[in-house]
Amino acid sequence: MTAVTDIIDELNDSSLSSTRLRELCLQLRKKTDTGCAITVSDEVNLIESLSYHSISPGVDIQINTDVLQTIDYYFQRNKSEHDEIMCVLISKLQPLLLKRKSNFELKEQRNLGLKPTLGMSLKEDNLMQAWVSQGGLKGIPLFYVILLHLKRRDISTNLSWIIPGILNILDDTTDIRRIKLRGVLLLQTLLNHTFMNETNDSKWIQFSSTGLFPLFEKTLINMCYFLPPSYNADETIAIWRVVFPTIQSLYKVEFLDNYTKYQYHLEKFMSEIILQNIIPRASLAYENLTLYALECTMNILRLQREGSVVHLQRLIFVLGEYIVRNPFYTTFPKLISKTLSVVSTLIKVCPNERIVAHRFDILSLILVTYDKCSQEDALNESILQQCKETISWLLNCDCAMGEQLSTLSKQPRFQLLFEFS
Amino acid sequence: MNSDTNAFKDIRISCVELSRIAFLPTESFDPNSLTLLACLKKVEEKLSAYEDDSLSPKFADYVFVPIASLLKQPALGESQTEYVLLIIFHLLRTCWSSNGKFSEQLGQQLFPLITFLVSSDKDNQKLITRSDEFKYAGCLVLHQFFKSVRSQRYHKEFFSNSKPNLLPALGHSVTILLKILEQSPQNNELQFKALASLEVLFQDIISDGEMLSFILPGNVSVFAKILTKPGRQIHYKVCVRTLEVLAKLLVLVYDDFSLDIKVNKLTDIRELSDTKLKHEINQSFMFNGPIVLLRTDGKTHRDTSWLTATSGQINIALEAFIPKLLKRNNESIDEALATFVSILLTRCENSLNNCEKVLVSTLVHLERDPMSKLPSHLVKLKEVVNEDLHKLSDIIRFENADRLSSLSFAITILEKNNERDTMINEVVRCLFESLNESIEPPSLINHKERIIEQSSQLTTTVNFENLESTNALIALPRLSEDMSLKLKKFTYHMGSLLLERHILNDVVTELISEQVDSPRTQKIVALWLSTNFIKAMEKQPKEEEVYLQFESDANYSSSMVEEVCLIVLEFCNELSQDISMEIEGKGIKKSDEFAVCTVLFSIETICAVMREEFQPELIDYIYTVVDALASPSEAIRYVSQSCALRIADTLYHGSIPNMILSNVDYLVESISSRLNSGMTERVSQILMVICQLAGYETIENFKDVIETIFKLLDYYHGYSDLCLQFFQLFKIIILEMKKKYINDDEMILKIANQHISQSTFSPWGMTDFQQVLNILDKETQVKDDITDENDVDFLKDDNEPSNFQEYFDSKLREPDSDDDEEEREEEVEGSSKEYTDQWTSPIPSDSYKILLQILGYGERLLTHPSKRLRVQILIVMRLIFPLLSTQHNLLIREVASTWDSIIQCVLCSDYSIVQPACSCVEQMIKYSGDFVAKRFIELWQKLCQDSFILKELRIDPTVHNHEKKSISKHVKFPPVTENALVSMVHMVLEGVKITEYLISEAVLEQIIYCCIQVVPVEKISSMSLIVGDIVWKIRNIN
Repeated sequence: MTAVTDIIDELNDSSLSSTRLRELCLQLRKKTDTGCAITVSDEVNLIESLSYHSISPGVDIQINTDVLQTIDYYFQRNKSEHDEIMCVLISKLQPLLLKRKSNFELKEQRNLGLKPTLGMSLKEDNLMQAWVSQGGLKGIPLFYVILLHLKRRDISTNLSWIIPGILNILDDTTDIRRIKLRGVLLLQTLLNHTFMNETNDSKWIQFSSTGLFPLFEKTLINMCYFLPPSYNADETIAIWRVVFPTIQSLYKVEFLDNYTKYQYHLEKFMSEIILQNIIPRASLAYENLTLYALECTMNILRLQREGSVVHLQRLIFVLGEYIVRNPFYTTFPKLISKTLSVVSTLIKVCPNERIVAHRFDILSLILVTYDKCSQEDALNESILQQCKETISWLLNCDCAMGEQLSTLSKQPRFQLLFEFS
Repeated sequence: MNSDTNAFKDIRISCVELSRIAFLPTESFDPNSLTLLACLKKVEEKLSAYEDDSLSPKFADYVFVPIASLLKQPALGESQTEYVLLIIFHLLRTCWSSNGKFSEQLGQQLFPLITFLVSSDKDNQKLITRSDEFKYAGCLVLHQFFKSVRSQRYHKEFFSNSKPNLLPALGHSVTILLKILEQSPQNNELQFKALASLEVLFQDIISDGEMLSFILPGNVSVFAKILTKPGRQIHYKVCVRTLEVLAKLLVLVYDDFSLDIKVNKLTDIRELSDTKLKHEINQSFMFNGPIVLLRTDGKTHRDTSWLTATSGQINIALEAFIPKLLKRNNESIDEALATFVSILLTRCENSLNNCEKVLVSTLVHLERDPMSKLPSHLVKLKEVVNEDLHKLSDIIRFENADRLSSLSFAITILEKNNERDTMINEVVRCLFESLNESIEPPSLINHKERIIEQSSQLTTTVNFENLESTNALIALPRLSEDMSLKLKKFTYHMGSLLLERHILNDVVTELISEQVDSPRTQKIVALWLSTNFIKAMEKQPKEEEVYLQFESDANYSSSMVEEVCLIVLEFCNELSQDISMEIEGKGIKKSDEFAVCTVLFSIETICAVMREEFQPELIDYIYTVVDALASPSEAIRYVSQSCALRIADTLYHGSIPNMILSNVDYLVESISSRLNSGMTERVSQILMVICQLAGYETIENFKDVIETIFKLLDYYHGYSDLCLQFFQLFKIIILEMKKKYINDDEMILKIANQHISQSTFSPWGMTDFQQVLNILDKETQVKDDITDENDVDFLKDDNEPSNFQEYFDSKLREPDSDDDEEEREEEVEGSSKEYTDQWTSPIPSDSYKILLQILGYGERLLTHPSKRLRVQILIVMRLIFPLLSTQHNLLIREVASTWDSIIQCVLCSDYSIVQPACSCVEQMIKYSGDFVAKRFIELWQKLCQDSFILKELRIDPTVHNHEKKSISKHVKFPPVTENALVSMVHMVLEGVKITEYLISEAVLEQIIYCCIQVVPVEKISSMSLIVGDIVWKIRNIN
């Protein structure tokens, strides 16, 4: 039987491989099944060591589920010692946090709306570099684990160091993916796992009471504009994968008791960020970005349900002008499929009354898509079927276009589209 | 004989029955027997069926037998007596009527009997107790008796002095009739019958003045009593008949011819010795009095003493009842009275000489002279006129219009029959003095009432077609319109008289020249009188016909007319200037109003008189007329419209615009000189009127004036009233400019749409199937282009299988793409230069420049503390922007420079300013298009933060979740707020049209949520598809 201390030592070894890390996690879970006793001190050390491996240290943010499961296992095993362990972990983390602004400066920063460029100075850069060189990056995974396991009732007493810690990381301008973006991850964790993990949390502090919403929202919205050609497309997607969910979580937590306001801000995000900026700029030049944006669009439409009716016209316009009518449309089969999926989602989610009002727009999208694919030999069975299904959904809304469609179906170019088996 | 036979047969039975009762012994006879009454009625009924003069006297004798027996009875009841009288009446009517059938002896016997039956006592005391039916029967009998006597040849001698036995009865009958007349004010028929009886008696039977003179006093007394009863107790027809009878009576008694009246006038001092001699004879003598020469033996009753005494009584009676009759103001009475007076003046002129004054006054009062008697009594007429003239002030002050009319009538007669002209001059002098006293009595406090136009904007719409210039009336201060009209007619009439005597010019000249140092009020009165005098000259064409026979006279008259008109015009000019100096900066008072109206009335009248000859003079007065058209006083505007219409009709074929355009040079000069003199208050109003009447053409002549106005705005921008007037003028200028150069609003939109680009979702947002086909056709066209290129490539390279691949490759192989782009840029630059230099607006550049200047000054003054001025400026701006949009490049520059100032007004806390500001911004957005899209987005943010008006609404749709879901106004806004909200919402909706693509759905939802609370939902939903979507959500989800 290997001693716990040995495992800890091995975890802290910089040459530890991912394979070995997995084996150690399995071993740790099996070992405890035997009922062997372990001291609190050792347990703290073990969790700390494991925490440093919870997030991959590279550019990509990859969550190690094995490590998280192991940590969770030990917390569950020693529930009575949870608070003690958390206190020790917090005390170990705090020295690792970046400290570069006093309270006065922080308030001033808030007043300025957290504009990163305003804080730029040589002194700050030196501080950041010193922090990194001293191993400050290690603290982020630990911060992550602590937030995951911090109890609802303990938030208020720890908020005074959590918020500055996250904000200082978010303020970084030297390394988006290794530093700034992980700050976003920490914020997301705070929102999802701390402020929303209790069903009956009325007696505990609410996020909306903290007054932090404008601060965080502005930072996150700003990151939505990190688009090509200023940024690499892969970087953009990496940013979006973290930022978009965080924004939605922020809205949800902030407006827990006000669904209308939640919808309002969701509308604003959808319209201003996705439909007015991202898709027009990404268009077909950056297929992956557009695909991701359209997927996000569909998710938001489902969240909004009938309220998505307000996006109906703009979404049709964006799909029509920037995607469907683009000369290179037919060279991106995935986009064709995704576009038709978005149209179908619109038809299903929006009220029939308004779908009827926009029936000619929707019909045009489908017809142009079909016609282009047909003319340019890009029509495959999958796309054809999707076109038919979309038209079918449209007709189910009592659009009363039988006469017009009958006229179209007599044209050779559209004959195949209107053949129903 | 046949009729008598039949009559005898009919009456016999009745007479027999009556006889039985009549022949009863005295002790058995009952005076009040009903049986007797029935028998009498039966006889009377029979007799009433017979026609006049259809039976013989024998029949009467037969019927009268029982009547005679009845009369022998000691007494007879009232009803029975009544029927006896009626029976006698019928007998007289049917049997004793024509000549020869009624013997004198029978008449002499019957007459006392009749009078006794009607009234048994001399004093007629019992007559009072009789019924009207009884009295009527008595009158019938007497009347018929007199008519029967009149038919006999002896009618002249029937009551002569040679037969004194009948005189008491005669006197008694007269007193009976007079008593009945006096005691029966409510019974017209009875009075008529009594009067008719007296008339027959006096005129046809007695007809002797000597005999009638004995009963004259009683008759005159009774007649006077009747005519002087207060109120309207006496029916007017009775009055008329009374006058007729009285006239005949007086003529019979006082006829100058029959009396041989001479008026002894002392013409030589030597006659005094003769007088002394006669005095020694102890005979009374009177100078300048009437003398009866017919009877010198002293045996007649009507002598000089009698005449002197009785004529005095007549005069007293006339003076008593004539005023009463005049007050009744009855046409029939007036006519009868005129006839009465005329007859007396004709037949009794000398004998009733002492009544001359009252008679003359009566004719004057009635304004009638049916027998043309007044010219024969000029001396007395002059006295009457003088008395009225001295009371003219009271006549005017107490508005006794009838007296004024009478005075005019009298003066006319005097002037037509008198060669001397002193009277008319006196009239003019009294009229002038009286008017002055009436208009501004010294004893009254003169309240200086200022006339302020109720509305802030001047109402200068002139509807000349419905205007009747002849109805324009200037009400004299402190006098009613009716009195003013009467005075005007009076004065006009005096003018006619002056014209006939050819002294009008002298009188007017003197009247005006005397006013050099007079107060302004007196000057106005003099002008008013002079103008009404001159108005009589409008009949000049007729006069010219008369003077055609005397060429020299015609020329003289024409020159004199022109001279007096010029004098009055010059006087008008001086007065007008004085009034303008007084009004400037102080406002118009009531007295000023009358003064200006008088000047205008004078100008109009002189134009009507001079006609074409007025043309050279118009240049001096056109400004005065146009100034009045823009007056804040309604009375002045009304009179000036009449004046302008007259001038236009006379000189410019009824065209007001031509009148103004033809004299625009003089108007410009007048306005410029006034501006330079610092009289700026009226200029704006005058220019407004000129624009409205004559159109925009006049503005082109006023460019110097407009430049002066702009300079004044620079110097005096602190004076809000002045600036406000100028911007009111600018509004008129803009409207007239638009009327001339822009046919309709569609024209503006057509021009503007060439430059306005809309940031919308087009071609999406389709509403019909054709749009679907259009977009498909566009895509097909693109493919056709690709196909063409593919064909070319296909010919070059047969190995390429994919169409798209060919298209892609052909794009890659285009080596000149950069060159093409450069060429396109050059083309764009070239077209831009060409576009910049090209003038596309239908408005000339000079006029367009005026608009720019107005806008510039307006923008600078939008921070002025005067609210009214700011509102007016915004209204003017709202009108300017559509016109500016006809030249797009200049429009957007002005929009950019004025946007911030106007937005400050939109955000103002005063909602009365917010409303016009929003309307103005709405126009800016409408005609600028997406040029202001970004500005509008910023504006909405400012509205949410700073707008006071927006706080009246719930601007955040998210808070609606916890409240009532119905979308409706939660409070009732006051009108000012309501109007501002509506205006703001229209502005915002106009902005949404150009920005729905640019702003997010969340913000758009916020906007629509505000608008939906003010404007009907249906109107908003139909704007566009996206707006309809948002409305749906607000109504169904929130």
